[in-house]
Amino acid sequence: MLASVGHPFVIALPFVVAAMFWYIARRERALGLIQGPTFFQRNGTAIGVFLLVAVMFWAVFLIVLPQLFMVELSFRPKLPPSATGGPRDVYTLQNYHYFLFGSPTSSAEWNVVHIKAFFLTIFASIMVTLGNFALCYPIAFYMAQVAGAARVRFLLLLLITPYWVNEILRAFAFRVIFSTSGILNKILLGSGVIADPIDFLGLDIGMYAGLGYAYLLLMVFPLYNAVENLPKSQIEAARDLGAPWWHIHLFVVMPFAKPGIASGCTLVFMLTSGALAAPMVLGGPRSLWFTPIVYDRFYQAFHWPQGSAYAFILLLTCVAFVMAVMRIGKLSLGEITR
Amino acid sequence: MTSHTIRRAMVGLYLVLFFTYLFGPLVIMSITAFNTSPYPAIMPFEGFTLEWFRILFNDKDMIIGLHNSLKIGVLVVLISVPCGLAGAMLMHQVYARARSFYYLIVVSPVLTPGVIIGISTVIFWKDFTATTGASFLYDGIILASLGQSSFISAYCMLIFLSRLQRFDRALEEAGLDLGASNAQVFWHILVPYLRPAFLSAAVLAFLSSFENYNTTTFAILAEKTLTTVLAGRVRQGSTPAISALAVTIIAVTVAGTIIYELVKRREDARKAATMRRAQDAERLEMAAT
Amino acid sequence: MTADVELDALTVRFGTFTAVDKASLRIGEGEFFSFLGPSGCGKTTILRAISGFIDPSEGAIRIGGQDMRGIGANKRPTALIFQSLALFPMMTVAENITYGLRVRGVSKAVRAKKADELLNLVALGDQGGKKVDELSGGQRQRVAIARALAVEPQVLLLDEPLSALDLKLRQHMRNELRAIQRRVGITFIYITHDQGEALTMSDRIAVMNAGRIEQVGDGRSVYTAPRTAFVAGFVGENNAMRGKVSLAADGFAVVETPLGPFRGTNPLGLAPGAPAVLFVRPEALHIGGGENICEATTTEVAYEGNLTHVGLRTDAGSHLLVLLGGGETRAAPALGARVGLGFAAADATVLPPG
Repeated sequence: MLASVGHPFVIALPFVVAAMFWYIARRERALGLIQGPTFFQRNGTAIGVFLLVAVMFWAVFLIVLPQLFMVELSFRPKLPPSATGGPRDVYTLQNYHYFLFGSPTSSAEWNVVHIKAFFLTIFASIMVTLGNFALCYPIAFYMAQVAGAARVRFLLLLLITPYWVNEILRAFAFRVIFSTSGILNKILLGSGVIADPIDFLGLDIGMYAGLGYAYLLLMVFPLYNAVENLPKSQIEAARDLGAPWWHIHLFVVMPFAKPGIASGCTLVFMLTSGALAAPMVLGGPRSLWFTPIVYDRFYQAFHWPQGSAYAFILLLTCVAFVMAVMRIGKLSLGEITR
Repeated sequence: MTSHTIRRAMVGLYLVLFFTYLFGPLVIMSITAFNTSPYPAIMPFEGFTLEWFRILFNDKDMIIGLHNSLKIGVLVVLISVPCGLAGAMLMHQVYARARSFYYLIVVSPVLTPGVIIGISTVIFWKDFTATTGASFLYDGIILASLGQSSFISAYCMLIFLSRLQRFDRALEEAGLDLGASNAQVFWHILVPYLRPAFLSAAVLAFLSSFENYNTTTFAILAEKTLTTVLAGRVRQGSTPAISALAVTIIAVTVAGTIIYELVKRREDARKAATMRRAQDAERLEMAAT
Repeated sequence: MTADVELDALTVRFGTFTAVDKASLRIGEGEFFSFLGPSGCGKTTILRAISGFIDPSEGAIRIGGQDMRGIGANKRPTALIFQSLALFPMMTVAENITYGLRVRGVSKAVRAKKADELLNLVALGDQGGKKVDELSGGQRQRVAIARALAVEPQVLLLDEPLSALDLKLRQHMRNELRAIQRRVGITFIYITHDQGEALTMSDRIAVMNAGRIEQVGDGRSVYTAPRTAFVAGFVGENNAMRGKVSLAADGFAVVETPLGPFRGTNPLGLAPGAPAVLFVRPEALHIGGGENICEATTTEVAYEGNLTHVGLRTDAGSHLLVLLGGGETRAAPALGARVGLGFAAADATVLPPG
């Protein structure tokens, strides 16, 4: 199929969907199923137009169309501008084929490097997410249920402050610690524990430490908000009934805080798997992480369709993760993103 | 030692470890900014210097990047705050069957990795501006602002939504009933009510934009922002000038936090005084009837 | 300026639910008119339809003879006092009061003068500069009234504005509201589920149930001459005895109840054989003799000083309430005592069951 039909179709799509809903709503109003003032009666013309234009601009031009264009591009071949729209511009799966099998000229059966990087990214992101949860749950619980109001406020301020130091600087801080001539090696060498410096960055230890650090706070806040709403009396009641502490956390606090846990895990997973700064700053030359590979597809290989395909694969993974969390926790999207 | 004191000690130890992990790296990095050693290090501390700050403040690329970051930050506030407000206001009005679909769309950028937002923004606007002839829009500053606004608008929307949830619709009706037009109700009643939300949304939008890297690095094209310049410098190698930048940012953040805290305290005191006066009035009234 | 309000077969439907069903009545100029009914009876819907927040499904609303169809809430000669009062928290008391003038483009100086005038009317004299949050419940009430009066409405609509106040203050505000209404002389339409409020303040009352207007009349007629079983049961306490009409003549009817035949007035002219309920007010039941007599056992005696409530159980198992006032309180029966009760036929009303 020629790819030139794609763009008009894609651009029309969100408008057609919006028009469809508008038409159904009008029908229902005509049938008396919807009551009350119409949209423009309620908001007035000026405000009504502002609302529609602003949301249309945001939802269609900033969210939906870019995503659809990216997906569309991922199914097209890389062509010089002169050949775009020509007979060779047809929809193809070659970019996804490349992700699995590499270049047609290579002798390897699978595109081992990229596939390995992809699965390693997913696996490591899940590990980072779980690690962050384990690290943050106690402090969230402490702030929400144990500490007094003044202390909570102080701790919250302490927690927020490092978050405004940008990601690259936070990663850089870990490089200062972990590089071969860094602080950690100096300490170990100086104390005589090791004779030669250890290449922490080459071993990816720096990268994982940095990744674990980067989004810690996005785990704390949802957890804290969720646990805070748990009435203290519930915990006291459980303790009164003789439940051991681990039982209280596992069967009283955590089920209650489920939306917060889901929210924190989703955010941390998404941010970690899509992280670019920590792998770039802390990764060694042989480090494997998926996002830098995507970046290279664009700005090293200049193969945008391929980069789009890779980005789409990452996006689908995140969608799958969110859906899995929703399914496991029996939660709605609204509960995860408050 | 009783089990109670053991538990207390364990909680204390945990808190110390947690905050060491949180602040340790930043503290160490900050110290390296003042060491004369050409490579970021704290030991041996060869001597105190402010040289790295001088180098930093004379770094032309950094200055240009900062300039662009500020420009983008302002643009993002100007786009995201109105879009977020409109998105939140529409949430309660949108046709009931379309509501969850609408919510899914406008909240999806929050759950989408930043790199993907950056990539898709460039792909779409490159083509869109070329076809419509508006190629002057295909500019790093504008694209970065648009890309960031895509998810920052969603943050703003969530802020407005939570404030709107506590809004008494009767206030709007009271305004209308007294003869105000819809526009007057919007400006006289809704906007003042949302003032705190406007403030937090604008601050959050600006800060999120300022520190953003993932989306920006794709959308910025040939231009540069503070974070992209910084990323380039970091990739070239480590220098204490980078630590000096971190110290500057941390100092500004801490100052901001302290100011925020002071303002908040004053506000709280004012609120408490108001409540006390209302209680006094109530008591007087009980005595009078 | 004041105006009359006319509802002409007003019907409001939400989907398949009918909130107001063919309500027709005319409220006179300068009248204090109340809609009384349990929650969900449609009284608030009528008020919101008059103020313009709900469009009628059928029928018409006329204010001062002008049909209100298509006229928005902000263009009607009405002002509404909300149940939550809906004072603007971001404005001072004076700004709240003069908001309606501000949106009409009235100059600052005139607004300030008007604010002083209204603050004096509602006895808030020097409170104009305060924030709304600093006021007591009663003061807020007054601000809401002043704010509504500032736009000089021809009709003032009040949606249970006293419900948030405690009992003592509520009674005080009743008198004050009535006094303000007399002073400004405009039509007040008042919504309440509290019969005490409706009876003490109103010139006339419409009793509503399940979307319908059951009866319209002044307080006395609604209380002493109910025309439906719902009104008899809802307005004030009442003893109800179910049965069947056995005789009907001269405006009276005899009802065969489990306690025996009783005679009462027959305002609707029920024919013999019709199912009926006979209502007797507790204060109309007397211990000892009377035209209609029955016996019952005392189960409860509550002494309240000037009044005594006596609860009784009849042999048929139903409960009766007797209210003894004045000298009667001395004759209150002992708990468990068997007493004879009686009442005059003129004090009993025979109505069809609701």
